[in-house]
Amino acid sequence: MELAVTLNTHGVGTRDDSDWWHQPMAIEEMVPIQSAQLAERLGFHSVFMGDHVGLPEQSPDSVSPLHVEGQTNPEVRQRGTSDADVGGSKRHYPARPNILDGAVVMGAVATHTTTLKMGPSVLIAPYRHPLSDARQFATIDTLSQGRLIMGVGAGWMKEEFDALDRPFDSRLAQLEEAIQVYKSAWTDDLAMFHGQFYNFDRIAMDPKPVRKPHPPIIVGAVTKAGVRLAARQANGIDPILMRPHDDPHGFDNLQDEIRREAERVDRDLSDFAMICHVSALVTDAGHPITQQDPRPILGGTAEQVIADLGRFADAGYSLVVIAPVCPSRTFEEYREQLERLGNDVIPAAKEIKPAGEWWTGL
Amino acid sequence: MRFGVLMNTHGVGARDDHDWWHQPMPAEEMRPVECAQIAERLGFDALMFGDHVGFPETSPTSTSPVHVEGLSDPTVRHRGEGAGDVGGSKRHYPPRPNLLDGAVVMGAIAANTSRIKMGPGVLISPYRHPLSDARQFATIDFLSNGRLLMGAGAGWMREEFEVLGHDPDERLAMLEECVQIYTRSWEDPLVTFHGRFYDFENVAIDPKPVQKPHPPIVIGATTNAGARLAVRYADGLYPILNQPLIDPHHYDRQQDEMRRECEKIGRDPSELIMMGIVSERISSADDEEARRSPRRNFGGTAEQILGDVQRFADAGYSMLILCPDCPSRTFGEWKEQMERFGAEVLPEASTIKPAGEWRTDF
Repeated sequence: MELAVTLNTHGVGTRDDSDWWHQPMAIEEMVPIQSAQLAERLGFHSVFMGDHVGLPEQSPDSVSPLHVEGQTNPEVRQRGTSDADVGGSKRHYPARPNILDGAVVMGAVATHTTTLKMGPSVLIAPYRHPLSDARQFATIDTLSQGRLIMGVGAGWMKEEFDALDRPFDSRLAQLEEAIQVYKSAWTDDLAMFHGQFYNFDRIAMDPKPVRKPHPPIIVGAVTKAGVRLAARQANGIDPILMRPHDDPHGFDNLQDEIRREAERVDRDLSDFAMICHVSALVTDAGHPITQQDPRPILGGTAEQVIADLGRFADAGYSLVVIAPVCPSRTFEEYREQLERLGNDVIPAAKEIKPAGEWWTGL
Repeated sequence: MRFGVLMNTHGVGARDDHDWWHQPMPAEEMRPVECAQIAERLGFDALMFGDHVGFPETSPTSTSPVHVEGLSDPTVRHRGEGAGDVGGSKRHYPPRPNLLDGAVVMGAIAANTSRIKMGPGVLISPYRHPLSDARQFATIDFLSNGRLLMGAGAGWMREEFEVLGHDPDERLAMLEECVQIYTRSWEDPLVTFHGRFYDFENVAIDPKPVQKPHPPIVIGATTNAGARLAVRYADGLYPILNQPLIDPHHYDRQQDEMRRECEKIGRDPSELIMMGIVSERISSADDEEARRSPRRNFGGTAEQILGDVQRFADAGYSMLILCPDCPSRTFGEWKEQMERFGAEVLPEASTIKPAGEWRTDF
């Protein structure tokens, strides 16, 4: 099993007994290049960055993909309503978070690292024309000499779709077309696509990415429709298991759905990977979380965290993307968590063999 | 006079007596980070990047802005018709050029340089949602600690607009709205805009750029309408003067139009930048370049080029972006041209004072 980490380009996260949520971070605390170099030195496989264009001040009509009816606090399903609650309240995003653009930061990270893989997690595909994204991410693959992992998703924040004048209800269909556009742009001499949302003939898109046949495309999805799309078009899924009591086997049904869809469309799954997003807090033995019952998953001593990672491996996940729990919203705390993971967890995690027939070559 | 260079992320240029045109370049020869470091070390002040999303194979209905009626050869006004002419023929762009995305490369360069400014020269604003561009370029200003020089333009390749689903006839009106959205995104706590093409309320774009009130925006335009737009919404004009025999005073009428517009809206012309882009080739005295009659602009010995610098300074330009003429399409030739210009021309040229009332402290 390999571990990845979310870069702090959207701030850092924290959690309580029911929820995980984004916290704003002071811009001086965001040191993405230094963070990526640290991750590479500590043995992380990859770093991932979120994607938002412009967050409307409020998002009352949107449900964060982290929200599960009946399990999570309804307050966290949407965003903050005023600057007053930027500080402490539980919201999926605060009202005015500092957000660095992932594609631009990846340009910098690509030239300051040598083996670390990187990608958006996930790029909200409907927000921009897929040819524009195909060009930008091909450039990231070129600068990094083949280290891009393309995470894409359909999005969830209706108000942001409205601001960008994109249809919200058809977002999954837009995502499916966008992925096909990326692949055509990255592999065909002249790209061509005739769909409901994108339509063009014989478009030059060079240079092609370094990685062949193309950088792996992973779909951030937690629904059956989403994973069927991934089985048809992509190289893996990356569901969210970030809540403190999420069951690593919570999406076993999605894995079955992928197998069924692959059989239906006669897709060979030998290049299909299972990734997930989690949150984690590594502590000393004396920390109260180590005794908590039930103990939040991936919270506790290195030994406890390693045991929990074993459960994710049993559920088929070969790459676990960790959002370190950082209540203080400082780089210092983020670095400490990365160091604990790198020094005390990664060596043992690398020995864990994921279950299932899934691809492990990301 | 200060100098910048058009980066070779779209290949390098070549010229004859009538035209300057793009030549394709192998991706391995581009080496943008190295080029940026060389330019910074030599004392250049800015790096500018072209912008294209996805080229249609041909563009028979489009006229490149490098084309000037009466000066240019009509065959260079649009792009190649077939793969056969990638090598040598004069076309504004070959059919399948290698193009790296400017925003991503600027992310890399921001993190690998310390003094030199950088920017798109120019970004085709209508191609992407202006909030997305505002976010990306704010991130570049952040990573470079305040070194973004934003060039924006309306575009010209009708076929590329159609591919992206935009109406090429609306491009100037779209640019006008985009520029307003950039400045609001970079200044207003929450961004609101109600236009014909873009319509949203209270969108958060943070962090704001390092430069206050916002990074300078120059408009790539050669028309009176573009010059007026630059005065009303931007911080200067950046016309194309790449034609090897163009008169430095060719755009005096646009400068006059800017003065009139300043008077009309009560803006001080000393707030506005006047910069241009030119083709260039330094040579020894016995080289054909130095002995031609008429001699091409910025072609020949250091002494001859210094005379040209004086002529462009007299026409009001305070920064010139060079497009070195590199017929061999190699990094080596580009580097040699840059090093000679840096050593033989830059020191004395930097003492030449531009005429006119325009802004020079940017």
